[in-house]
Amino acid sequence: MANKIIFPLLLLSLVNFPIIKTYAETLTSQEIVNKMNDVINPQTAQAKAKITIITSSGKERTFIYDSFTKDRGEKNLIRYLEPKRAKGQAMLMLNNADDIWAYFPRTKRVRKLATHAKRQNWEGSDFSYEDMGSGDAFIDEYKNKLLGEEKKENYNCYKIELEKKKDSDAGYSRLIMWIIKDNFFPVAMNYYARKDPQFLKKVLIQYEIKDIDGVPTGMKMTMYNKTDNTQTSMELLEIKYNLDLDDSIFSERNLKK
Amino acid sequence: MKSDHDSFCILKIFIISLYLLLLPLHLYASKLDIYGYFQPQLTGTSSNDDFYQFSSNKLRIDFKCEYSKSVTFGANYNFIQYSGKTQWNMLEYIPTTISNAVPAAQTESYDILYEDDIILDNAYIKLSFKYADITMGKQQISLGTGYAWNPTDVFNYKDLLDPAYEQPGHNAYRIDFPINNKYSVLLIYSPENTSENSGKLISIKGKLGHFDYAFIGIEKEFLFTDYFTFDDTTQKRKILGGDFVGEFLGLGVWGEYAYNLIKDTDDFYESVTGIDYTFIGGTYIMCEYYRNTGGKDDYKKYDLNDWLQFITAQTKTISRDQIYASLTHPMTDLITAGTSVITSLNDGSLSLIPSFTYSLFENVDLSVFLNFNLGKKGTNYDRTLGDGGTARLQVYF
Repeated sequence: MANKIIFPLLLLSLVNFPIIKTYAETLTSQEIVNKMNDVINPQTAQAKAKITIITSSGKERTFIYDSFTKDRGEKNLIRYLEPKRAKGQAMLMLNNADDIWAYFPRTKRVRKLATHAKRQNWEGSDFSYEDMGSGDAFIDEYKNKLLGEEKKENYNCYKIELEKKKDSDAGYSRLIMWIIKDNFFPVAMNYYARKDPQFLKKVLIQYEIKDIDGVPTGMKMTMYNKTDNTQTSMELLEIKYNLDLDDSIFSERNLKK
Repeated sequence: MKSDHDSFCILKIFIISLYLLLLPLHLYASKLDIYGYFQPQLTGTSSNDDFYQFSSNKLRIDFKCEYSKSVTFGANYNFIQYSGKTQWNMLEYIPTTISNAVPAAQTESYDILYEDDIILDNAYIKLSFKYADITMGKQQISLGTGYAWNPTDVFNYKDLLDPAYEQPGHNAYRIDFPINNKYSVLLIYSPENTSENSGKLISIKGKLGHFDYAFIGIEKEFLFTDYFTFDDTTQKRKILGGDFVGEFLGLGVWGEYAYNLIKDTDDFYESVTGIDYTFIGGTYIMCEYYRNTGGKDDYKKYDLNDWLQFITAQTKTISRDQIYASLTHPMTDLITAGTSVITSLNDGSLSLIPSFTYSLFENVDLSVFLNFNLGKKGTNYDRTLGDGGTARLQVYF
């Protein structure tokens, strides 16, 4: 089974719907989370992104990939362009990543993976698939609570706590999110250990949030791993929204191209 | 080893071939992609109180050219150079209870020689139409859902020390028909000297819930050597089988089955069943059970042909029932360590394979595999067969 797993929805936190008009101050935490969930799940997107991993020993690893997303993240295809050793590897995720197929060009083999493969880190990075809240995970797996309002990264934000539901299989006990009040974009997130709600494992910060073609977009983000003292940065090199992406893109046939 | 003259001729042929290969591609230079890897590898093994070293340097160069969205050309050459102990006697790697029966004067017949080589491993063209993909030429073919064993893969034999390693190309014509999002049909014709003894395969693939499945029918000839007389014989098989892969109760599950119908000989079947799981933190475990009724259920029945046909990859197993289990854990962001165990349920022997991979630099990976055989004398993983280890560097470009 594959050891190297790729997770396209990393992109989704960088991809947004058009700026949402300012809302009244009386939104409930559930309404805020719902709107944030809409923001990070675009209808369609096509992007080229670059991942840079700084390891605990200070070494740097870089990955570049193409990504295609449709139906608010329900369909995803990602294909590595760099590094050379991973070039051509591709992953198809359908049904909000309940169905995953990986393609390995060295063996010309397509393999269906079980969903537990999402727990594997992405090419040694500090991200795992579920870090980014695939599909509606932030709504389905966690209950939410509004902690107040706070300034974060120079944005006025809602501070929301997401606590793992009892029957959830989520990898974290709780999350703290800072959601920009103006556009419901999650500018920062703290991840706490599954078994210790006080133990901060990772911190995600999004930078350079730009309005591109009317769409607020986080052009860069960094995940800081507080346990291993490592960090992974992601940068959008190209991004297009609201494209007419044919369903044939999200097929096993296209995976092998 | 080849003489200098032979080596020069091979080099000359290669350069001419490469030129002819690259000439048309040069016209499409902007779309031509050249990549590959260099792989130095050192293997050490202990046998009968001796320790031997064997090393190889492999250079793989891949070419890929997309003439258009509908036409793709792909090829690769492998350059392999061996050094150290390049001549091995297979009898040294089977139990002495069997090898001692071979007359001393005949032992040289069981030598294997590793010679430097240049191989056109793959060379194919893929034509993509609206309703089909047609691939013609020497190409990799991967079939089945198993990890360590693939009963339906009649083209390849996996090395249990490294089952995920790339497989060689096979001369074939392949047509993939995607019927819709759920169903597809695969046809493969692997030509030999007549159409009757050429390989033929049809597979119908579908999806059911979170499961993928396939039904497969194959007709193919297999070559076997009788290692008592050194006569080669062919055996034509018709194979019916299928496979599935999916998820059940949070576990990854897969299975594969192939029933081998053989004229004038007993039929047999192979099956594989596997499960896997990834824990929070990235620790990964998998277990696969393989049954091959062509194998023997009592190690006292293993004979010279059983051993040597297995060593030369003419058969997939000696014993009937085996389990492959593996555990890997990401020790750091760049290092993964693991252990695999292969055990024969029929004779109780087992082989332990600790492994370690380290991403040394960008595009440079180091892998180390060790191998300890722990079975009693005469069994599948007889401890007297020797222990060993391999260190492999892969530098991608």
